[in-house]
Amino acid sequence: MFERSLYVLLFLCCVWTSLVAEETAPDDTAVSSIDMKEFKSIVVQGGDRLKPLDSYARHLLLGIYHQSKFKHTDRMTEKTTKMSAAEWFAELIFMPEKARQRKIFKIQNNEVIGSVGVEPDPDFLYSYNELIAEFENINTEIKKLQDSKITKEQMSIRDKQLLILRNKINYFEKHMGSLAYIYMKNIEVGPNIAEKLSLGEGGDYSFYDIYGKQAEIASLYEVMIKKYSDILRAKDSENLTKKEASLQAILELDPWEQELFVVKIRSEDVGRIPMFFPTVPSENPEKEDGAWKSPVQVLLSYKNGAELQQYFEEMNANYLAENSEAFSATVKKFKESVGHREKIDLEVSYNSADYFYNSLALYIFTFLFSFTSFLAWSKNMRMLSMLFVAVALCLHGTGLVIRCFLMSRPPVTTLYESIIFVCFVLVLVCFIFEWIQKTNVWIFCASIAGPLLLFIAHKYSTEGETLVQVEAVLNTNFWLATHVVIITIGYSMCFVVGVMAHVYLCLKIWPKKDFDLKSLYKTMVWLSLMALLFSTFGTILGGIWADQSWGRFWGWDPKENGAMMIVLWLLFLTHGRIAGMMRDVGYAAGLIALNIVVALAWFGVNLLQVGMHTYGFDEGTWTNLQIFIVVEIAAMIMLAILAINRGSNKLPAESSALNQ
Amino acid sequence: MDKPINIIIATIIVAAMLYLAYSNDDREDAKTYNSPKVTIVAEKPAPEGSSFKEGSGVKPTEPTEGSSDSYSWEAPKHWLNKGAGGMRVGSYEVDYDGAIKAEITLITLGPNSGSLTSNINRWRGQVELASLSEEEVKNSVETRTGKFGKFIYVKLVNDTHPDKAIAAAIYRSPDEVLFVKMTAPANAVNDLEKDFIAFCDSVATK
Amino acid sequence: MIKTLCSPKIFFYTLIWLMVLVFLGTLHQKDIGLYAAQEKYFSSWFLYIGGVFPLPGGRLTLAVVFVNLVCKFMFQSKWSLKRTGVNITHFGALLLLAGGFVTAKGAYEGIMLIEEGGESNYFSDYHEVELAVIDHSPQQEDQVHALSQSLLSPGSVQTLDSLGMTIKVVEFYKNSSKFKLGPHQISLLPNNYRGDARAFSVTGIGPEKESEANMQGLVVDISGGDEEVNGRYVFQKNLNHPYLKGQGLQVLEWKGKKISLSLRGRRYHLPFSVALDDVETKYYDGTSKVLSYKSFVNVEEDGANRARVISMNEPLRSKGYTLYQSQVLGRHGEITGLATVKNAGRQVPYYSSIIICIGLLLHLVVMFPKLVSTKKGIKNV
Repeated sequence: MFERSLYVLLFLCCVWTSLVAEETAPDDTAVSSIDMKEFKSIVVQGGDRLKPLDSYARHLLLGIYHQSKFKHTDRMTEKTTKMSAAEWFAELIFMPEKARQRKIFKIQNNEVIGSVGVEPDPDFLYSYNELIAEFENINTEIKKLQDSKITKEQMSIRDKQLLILRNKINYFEKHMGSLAYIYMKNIEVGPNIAEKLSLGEGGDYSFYDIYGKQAEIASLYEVMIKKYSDILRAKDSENLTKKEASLQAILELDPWEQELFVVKIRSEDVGRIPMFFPTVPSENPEKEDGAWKSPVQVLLSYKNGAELQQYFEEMNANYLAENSEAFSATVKKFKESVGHREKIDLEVSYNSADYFYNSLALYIFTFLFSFTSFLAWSKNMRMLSMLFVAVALCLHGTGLVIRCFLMSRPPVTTLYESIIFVCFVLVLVCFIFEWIQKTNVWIFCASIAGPLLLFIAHKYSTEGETLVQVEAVLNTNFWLATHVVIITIGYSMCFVVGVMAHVYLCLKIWPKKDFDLKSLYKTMVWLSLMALLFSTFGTILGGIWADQSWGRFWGWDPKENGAMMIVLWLLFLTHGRIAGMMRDVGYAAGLIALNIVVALAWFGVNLLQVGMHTYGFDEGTWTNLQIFIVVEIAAMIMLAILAINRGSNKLPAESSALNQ
Repeated sequence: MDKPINIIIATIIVAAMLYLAYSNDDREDAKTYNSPKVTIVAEKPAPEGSSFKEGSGVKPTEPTEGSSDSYSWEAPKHWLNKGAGGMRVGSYEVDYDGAIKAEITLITLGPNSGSLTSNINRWRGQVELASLSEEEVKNSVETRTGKFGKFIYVKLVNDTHPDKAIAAAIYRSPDEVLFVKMTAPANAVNDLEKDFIAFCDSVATK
Repeated sequence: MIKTLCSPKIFFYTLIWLMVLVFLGTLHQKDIGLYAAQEKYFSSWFLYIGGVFPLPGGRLTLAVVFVNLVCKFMFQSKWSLKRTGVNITHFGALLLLAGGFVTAKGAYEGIMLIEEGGESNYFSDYHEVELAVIDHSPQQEDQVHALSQSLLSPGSVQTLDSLGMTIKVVEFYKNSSKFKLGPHQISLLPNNYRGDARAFSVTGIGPEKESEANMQGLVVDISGGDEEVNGRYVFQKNLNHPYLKGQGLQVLEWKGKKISLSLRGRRYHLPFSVALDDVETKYYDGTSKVLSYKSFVNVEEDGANRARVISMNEPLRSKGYTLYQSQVLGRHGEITGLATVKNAGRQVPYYSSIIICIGLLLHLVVMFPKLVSTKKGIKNV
């Protein structure tokens, strides 16, 4: 009893550490003291839905930096800087001089580094400033690509990476300038024209400052230009070059007119005025297709924009002054004037909870304990494993449920979600069977497959936005809830038996005393029938959905064929067993092959890029798929041969129950 | 509950299957029927030496008005107004012959959104044409005067890649630049150019 | 003999071949397109390797499975408690295969295009064409003689008795390219080239990957009429777009009657007509991504007019035909494209899937206690 309590205590400590420590680690590097809480939940329109600024910022950072949190350790000072996506975004739009120094552009390709001409960084990370210094080089290279007129397929990796880099830079710049029109004081207004426009003293003004005087500037400019043209025409008789004539004419203008020239030209020069970061709803949603406006669009085209502009200005000022309270207060007022949108706060908390990452950590702990349980302290290690899995399942499940709620739709609509869901069901089934049978191997299976799948999912999540709207033709909740969910459960069940088949063969090769292998085999058979049920039903439901939507039950689409292959393979194994064509070793080997069939049906068909289910070709996926197939085939052959030879021509006694 | 039931069920299924399979297909290879009167329309002459689909062509129609906050324009009635969104202050789609559509977009960007040369070369790249120097670009575009005032007009057709061509206009204002661009296969761009130019000429600031 | 026919070993080996077929066919789709792969691997009775060596195609393989299953079901399926689930599943599978055959043999589909304010009572095949000979002489309506693609193979001769017209097919191209002839080429043409044959030439080219994009071509010799009218005519497929109504017809004087000829998508007529009131397209906010399409139609059957709405995922079903919202076309988005299907076997998968699932579920429930041991005291590893 005492021993048990010790273990439970150990468990709780581990959980606490992994979940909480990250958040409360002493941060010697707070970039700024501004509290992001209110800022995170500003509503932004991006990727065809409304989302919190937190998600928007994460997505942007992911696109450039491939991680959703910024972390950098200075090699000289050994100081570590950590920033959340929201903090980084705030710095980007309010204090771009600092953002430009952050090393967030990752370039690993040596050729690209060479072409760009930056000094190689040991971490492969470069800041905007470093890259912009070599901007000419980048543009020249891109121009060369365009001149050579090669197609996308013909481009080398370096070329593709270069284009990707250029896009990242563009994206960065476009957001960086979001509020530039407010704080960038780069329009030189001479004292005379300043007086004429009642701006006060001469000096440097921002576009925002000048904007109110647009009409005046325009009318004054018209007058001035006429005068200038007259003067120029008068000089026609003199033999001057165009440039000389122009210069002389300018000198003949009044001081305020000369300064007006500068104002006009500089305000045309003010820097890109981006339309990104749309955070204010349109005044005319019907007319404008419901598109939201960026801060500068609000200035240029919003009728009642003055109040909103004030908020932007205040936010900027408070951030620079590091006045956290005033900043949050302004943000709050801004949000209130824009209006509340539901589910925004939920999404912010979902983002920070990082459910799947945490369950991944717990699953890894489970593996450690489960593996240890085969060596020593088996009972207690097993209990710990079960506890860890239980908590992980709760977190995992919560994450899934919240996603459903946020997007108001069933749990599986993208590839990423399918992976998370398969993992969940797989671990749950293993957990249940471990509970029923207490063999210790079910939990071991869960602890292997669980973290593996979540890790794969994690790779897909770093590619960008995972909460996306779904295509019109797929947007029917009933079928998404039934067909897709059932087929995904089918995949899970296949993996359950597939993983268990490995363990079964291993146990056959290296038998454990007193372990009831026959019982395990029979359970595996039953579960494979379960897999058959879900896969068949799911596949047929898919056909019915297609019939309802497009008029054809079966179109021999690659995805349909893939699902059918799973059913056919399972039927093949089942009938082979019944007909006596295969015994337990063959059956188990066939189940290992089932893993390959499912992987091909799940990921492989997308690579064909034919038919209705295309998501785009991915080099990485193809490579990993090939590796997986090779490994599984090797495992299958090796284990089967060893199992047949090693000791066991003693097969589990054929019982009538098996011949089904 | 023995074999006879099974045989009966199976026979019914097979019989039904054969019946339905062969009776469902009521298509005849040669048939005669009556049909409402059809007005025969004269065909349009096609460009010399071209391979084209018979009967393609766009009938001229009257213009309808469109606008954004800072611009107004007149678009032909048969242009499908797809509205504004994101950076677009307007967009249209023209159904050319059922299979081909032309897309027309109106986009505003900041005043420093690239020089004329860089924009033209960017579009040239999109239709797989080589880039030009600044001088060459200036010579390759047309300056037109419409309701807006002076604007730049260019048509980019690559004969070796006729599946995508561009016709575009650039309107420069002090605080922004308006790009009006038509994208479609080459033959559509050629056929629709007249309407498109009329459209570009009608663009004005409010 | 019967015992062999029922043996699961047949199923075992046939399955292997079926899986090979599916695998190869799916891979090959990337190169030749969905429709072509379907024709070659899955809908065919035989698959010819290298064009010569025959292997069982999808249909033959499934036929073998069907026969095997029927025999098994008829002669070797006892209805004991243990076997009930399996028997039900086999029955469901039998139904599914039977329905598949009904569909494969008898179903057909096409597209119906209607513009707002217009109506239509036919739909056009996606892949096949017909040669339409239209007699405009009757007062009230035109009389149409339609010859479908299967009658238009090179060398075949068709006669239209009522017109006294004989049509001999010289060439038929599954996909073609049409070229305008220059004046010099025209001057070299034989005298008996008529109509479009004096302005264009049509040659065969390789098939498009998207089978619907194929533009069929046809060259025929027509006889039975006056001297100036008999001769050679060439055609390329006319598109069925409402904007092109009445265009592309080759007109001639046939024994005092006005006749026009056209090669067009094969038409199938419905026992009712569909009139379109309005088409509606909705987009996701702030984007040009389509959210939904809807067609507001009036269906006239048995003299009564009924207003219906066809939208994505909500088709219209009437008299054995099903109409699905498929596309929206036209300069204002005022043309609706309705995918139309006639399939008597449509409902079979619904029934068979339920039956299969009930069967499998039953079997799983029955087998649970026999296969899954919940005895406490199983020693763990």
